[in-house]
Amino acid sequence: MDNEGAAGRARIALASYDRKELRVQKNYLQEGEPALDCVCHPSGQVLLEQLQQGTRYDLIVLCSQMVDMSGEEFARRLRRLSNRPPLILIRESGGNSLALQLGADDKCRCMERLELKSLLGEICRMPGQKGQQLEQRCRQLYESWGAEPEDINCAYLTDAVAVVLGTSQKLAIRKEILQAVGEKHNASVSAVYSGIRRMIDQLEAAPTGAWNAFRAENGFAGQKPTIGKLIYAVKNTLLRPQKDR
Amino acid sequence: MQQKEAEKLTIHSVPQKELADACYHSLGLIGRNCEYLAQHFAQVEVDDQTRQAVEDISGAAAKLERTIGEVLATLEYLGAEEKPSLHLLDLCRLLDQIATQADMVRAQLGVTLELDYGGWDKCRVMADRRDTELLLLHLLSNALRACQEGGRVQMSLRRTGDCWQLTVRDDGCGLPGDNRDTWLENRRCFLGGAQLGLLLCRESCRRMGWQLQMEQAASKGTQAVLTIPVYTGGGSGDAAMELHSDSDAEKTQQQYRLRAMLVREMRTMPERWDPEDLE
Repeated sequence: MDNEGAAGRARIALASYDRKELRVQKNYLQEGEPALDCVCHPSGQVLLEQLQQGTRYDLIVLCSQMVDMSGEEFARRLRRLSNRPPLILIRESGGNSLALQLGADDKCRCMERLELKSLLGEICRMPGQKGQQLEQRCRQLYESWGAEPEDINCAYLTDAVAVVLGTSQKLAIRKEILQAVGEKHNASVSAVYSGIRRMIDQLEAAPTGAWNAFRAENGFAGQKPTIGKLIYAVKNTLLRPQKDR
Repeated sequence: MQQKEAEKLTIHSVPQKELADACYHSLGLIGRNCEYLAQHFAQVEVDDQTRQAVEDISGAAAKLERTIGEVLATLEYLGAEEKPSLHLLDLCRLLDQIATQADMVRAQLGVTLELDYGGWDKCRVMADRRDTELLLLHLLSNALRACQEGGRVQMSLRRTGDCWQLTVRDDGCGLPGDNRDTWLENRRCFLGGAQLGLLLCRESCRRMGWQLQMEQAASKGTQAVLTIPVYTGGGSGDAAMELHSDSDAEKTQQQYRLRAMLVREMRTMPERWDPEDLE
C-alpha cells in the first residue's frame, strides 16, 4: 500500500493538551480501522521537530490547543515545512473563521465539533490516504466483475463502502449511508439507490466468474444481493487479507 | 416555563434557576449513568478501555459542572443590582472546615495543605458566606492545580492594623511571567479552563469590600493575598446571629457542602501524564 508504513499501517499523529481527548480518539480510530496507527502528541514543538527530522505521519489530527502552542500557531508553523502531511484541525467553535484566517486548503482543513464517526470517515477520504487506496481496490474488484469503474454507479457504491468503513456501527442504509453519498454527489437518495440497483441488475444480467465467486464468498450465491448486503460484502472483501481473496 | 412567563423574558432577565435546573438535570443523568455503569461493571466482564471511558465521561462532566457553575455565578453577579447583605462570619471556622479535607487532598493529589492562623483563634469579618466559600475554594483550587505531586499549599492568616490578610500560597508553577519555561509550566497547569475563576474571585471581593492581589511567591510559586477589613462592631442587626446561630446540624451541612464542592473540584484537576502512557 502506497501510503502505509513499514508495518503496513497508516500513521496518524493525534495532538492535544488533553489526555482524555487523545485517549478516546486513539481508541475509537484504531478499533474502527485497525489499519491506523495513532501516535499521541501533547506538545506541538516535539511533533514539529519530529517532522523536521523526517518522521513520517500520513495525517495530523489536532484539537484547538496543545500544551505549548495553540492549534493556529501549530498550523502556521507546519505550513513552513516541506512535505508536510495533511492536517485536520478540530475546533470546538469558530471553525469557519479559522479556516478563512489560515487560508485552509486540501492539506489543511478546519472542522467544528467533529464527531469521531465523521473524523474516521474524513481520514478514510483524505487525498492520498485510505480513500485513494479504497478507490483503487474497488476499481480492481469492479473490473473483475465486468463492471465499468468510471460509471457513476460504481462511484456511488465506492462512496457507500467508504461510509461503512468509517465506523464499526451498523448504519441505516438510506438515512445514513445513501444520504451521505447523495450529499457528496449532489444527488437524491433515490438517485443513488437506483444507480446501485442498476449496477446490480447489470452484473446479474451477465454474471462473470468473479461476480459469482464474490456472491458465494459472501453468502448470497444464486441470489440477487440487496443494496445493503452488497455494500457490506464489498467492505468485508476489502478488509480480508489479500491472500484470502 | 409557561408561555406567558417566557414572553416576559428579556436578555437582561435570564431565567437563572431554569437554566441551572436544565444544566444540572442533564449533568445529573450523566453522573448517575456513570455510577450505574461502575456498579454494573462489578458484575460483568469489562475491559480497561471501557472502564476508562466511563471515568473520562465522569471527569468531563465534573469539569462541565464547574464551568456551568462559574457561568451562572457570573450571570448572577452581572444581574445583581445591589451588593449582597453581609453577615458576621468567623473565617477561622471556615478555614477549619476546609482544613478537615487535607487528608483527602493529600491522598488524591499528593499535595500537603497547611493552615497557619498566626496565633488567632477567631477572625470575625463581614461577609457573604456563599461568596466567601466560592472565593476560598477557587483560590485553593488554583493553588492545588499549580502544584506538582509533593507540593505544598499554605493558608495563613495575619492581622495588620485594621485589616486581616489571608494568604493562599503554593510552591507550584508560579505566574506565567516573561520566561518561556514559566509560561509553559503555567499553561500546562491551567490550560482548558474557561478563565472565569479569577474574574469571579475579584468580583466577589468587590461585592464584599475586600481586596485580592495575585503575586509571585518569594521563593517559588504564587500567593493570593486577600485583604479583609476587621469587624469593628455595629453594621447589620443580624450580624451576631450568623456567627452564633449555627447549630450542629447546620455545621454538619456546611461541612458536607464544602467537602462536596472540594471533591468535585478535585475531579477537574488536570491529569499529569507522559505521552508514552498512551502508546
